[in-house]
Amino acid sequence: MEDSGIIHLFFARAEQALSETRRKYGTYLDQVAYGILRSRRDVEEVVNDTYLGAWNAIPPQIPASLKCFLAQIARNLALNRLDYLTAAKRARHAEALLSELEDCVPDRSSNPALVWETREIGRAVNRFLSDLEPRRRTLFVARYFYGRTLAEAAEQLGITPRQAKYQLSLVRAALKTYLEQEGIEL
Amino acid sequence: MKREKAKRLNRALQEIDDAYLEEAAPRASGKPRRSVWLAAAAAVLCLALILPAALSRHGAGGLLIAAPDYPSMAPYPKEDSLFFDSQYTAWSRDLRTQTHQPAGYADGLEAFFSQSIPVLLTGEAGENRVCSPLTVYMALAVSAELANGESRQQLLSLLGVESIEALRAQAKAVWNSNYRDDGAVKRVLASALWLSDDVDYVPETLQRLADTYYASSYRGEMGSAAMNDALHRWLNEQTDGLLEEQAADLELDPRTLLALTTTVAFRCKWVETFPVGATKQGVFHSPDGDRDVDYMRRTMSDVYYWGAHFSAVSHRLEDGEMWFLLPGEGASPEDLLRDDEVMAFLLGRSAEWENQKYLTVNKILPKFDAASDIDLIEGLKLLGVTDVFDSNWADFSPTAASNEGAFFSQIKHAARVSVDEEGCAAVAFTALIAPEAGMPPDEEVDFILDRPFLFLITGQDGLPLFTGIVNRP
Repeated sequence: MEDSGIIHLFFARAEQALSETRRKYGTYLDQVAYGILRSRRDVEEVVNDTYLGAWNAIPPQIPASLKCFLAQIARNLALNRLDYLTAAKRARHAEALLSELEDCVPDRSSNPALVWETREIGRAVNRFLSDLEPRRRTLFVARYFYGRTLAEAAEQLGITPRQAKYQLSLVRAALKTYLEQEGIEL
Repeated sequence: MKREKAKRLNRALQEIDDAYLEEAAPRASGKPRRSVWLAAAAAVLCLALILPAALSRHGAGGLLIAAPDYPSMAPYPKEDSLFFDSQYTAWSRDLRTQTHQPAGYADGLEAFFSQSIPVLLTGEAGENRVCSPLTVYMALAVSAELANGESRQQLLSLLGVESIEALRAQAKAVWNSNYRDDGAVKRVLASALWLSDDVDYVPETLQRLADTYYASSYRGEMGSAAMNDALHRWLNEQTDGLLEEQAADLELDPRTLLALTTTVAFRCKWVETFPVGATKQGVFHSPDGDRDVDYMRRTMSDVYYWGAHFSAVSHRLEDGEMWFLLPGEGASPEDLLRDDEVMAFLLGRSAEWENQKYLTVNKILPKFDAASDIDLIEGLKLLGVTDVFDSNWADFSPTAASNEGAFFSQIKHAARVSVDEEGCAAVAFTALIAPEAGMPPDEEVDFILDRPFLFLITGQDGLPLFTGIVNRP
């Protein structure tokens, strides 16, 4: 079913919206959540909650891309779940991702009292990504949004995990410089 | 402190643009991808309308006199093109235009398919059986245009429509929703009329067939080598040569008033490829004994369905879906065809199916190449279409003024579906226990098609493009 049809079902409050969403995007959402959580049991919960989240959000919202809208809900829920899991020291994969993202945190702090809104940081990241060479951008998003392992992200781009690791280190360094230049505080 | 900042940055990644998410999505359906797995299918249906009185013959063969105007579609975008984004936008816009047909256009078709599929797939025990329900639908819809009176009414009743006007609207929508020719996927419900140059046909009818059913018309000397060659060339072109053998058998009898050929060819990539190298030989329990076949494997999170006498999974195609139904132990695919529950499941109710579970599915599917050749006359008679086969009752007045005594002498339907993988290499293949039909275990299920099974290929609109029984992969 086309996305417009599924959104129409959400607006009509027809429960078929959920089954159609699961049918079309279930596997994809599973991957989004799995990239972060790496646990089937947790993924199942998160993805089910994603459908509920979409049900509550549409209407009033009308997503431009249903797929990406769902991915954002799923990722948000997965991160919430991850907070709990990391507290319980159960998420080694996520630890690795966060540890790599620490490389992007600006060293200098012009105004420590200022904390930027998440949305503003996101916009800056988008500006950075828009100027990035497309293959590096794909690699970055695959690794840090979708939580792919190095091997998975490398396979997606047809390069070796070693090359992926090296390219990602360059992108992280560039992002750190960019955030510093933009004066962004995390 | 730094960890907290990394977490904030991680949260901020939530705001990454949709376009970049699509770009890096692990599996973006409909987007270009390298793929090695293909499903190919083709079907041809040929109706011959015979006029028993011998006609004087003259003229050459295969002159195209009417051609439909197929919709134009932007080509499938090139993955490495600098203009990928604009190409993708144009392509997806055209695809949406084709698939957005009037709401409810397919209403009523379910009854036709649920009646006709069991008849189409009934045949000799132990043989593979393949058909294209949509091709049969389109051929019968065109036949209804050619006929009148009770002859037409019987066809309309079988197709589940109240009037010829309703059929025209529906057939046009069905044709369009299934049309795709963008360089990556070719799926065209193509029809052609083969007309004798001795007969004066009703031009309005031919024009309507071109406008509404996208049918071409060729005219020439029936039975001549030139006309038969033109017919074979057209068939092979439309079916990508997949049915060359069956097409070669079709000859136009000199007494033929009109022949109608309807075809569909379909080649499509899987969205989730089966890993190269995971394919391994295993035993398939055919009715005539065990045989070694190549099994492809993929483990994935997916929906597993079950009913009283079957279990089922689907595998997504970039432009549709392929369903596999495994009968429970002791049951045959033919038994499933007689089961109303199975037919309801097959014809689009899977989304609301109560017995479904999302879990880890180990899909173990045989590669196969199944073809069959079916004469539909007896089957259609069973379904209540009788007059068009009887020279005393048939009425083909919309086709030609001199139609007295004309009747359909043959309806041959040939179809072939092959599912294949390139570059297989061996890795260890552990024998797994085939599941019984019924509720699956909690977390993981093996779905092994190692005995006769039923399959169905649907397009984007969920209508049955191909269905079949595989007894011998």
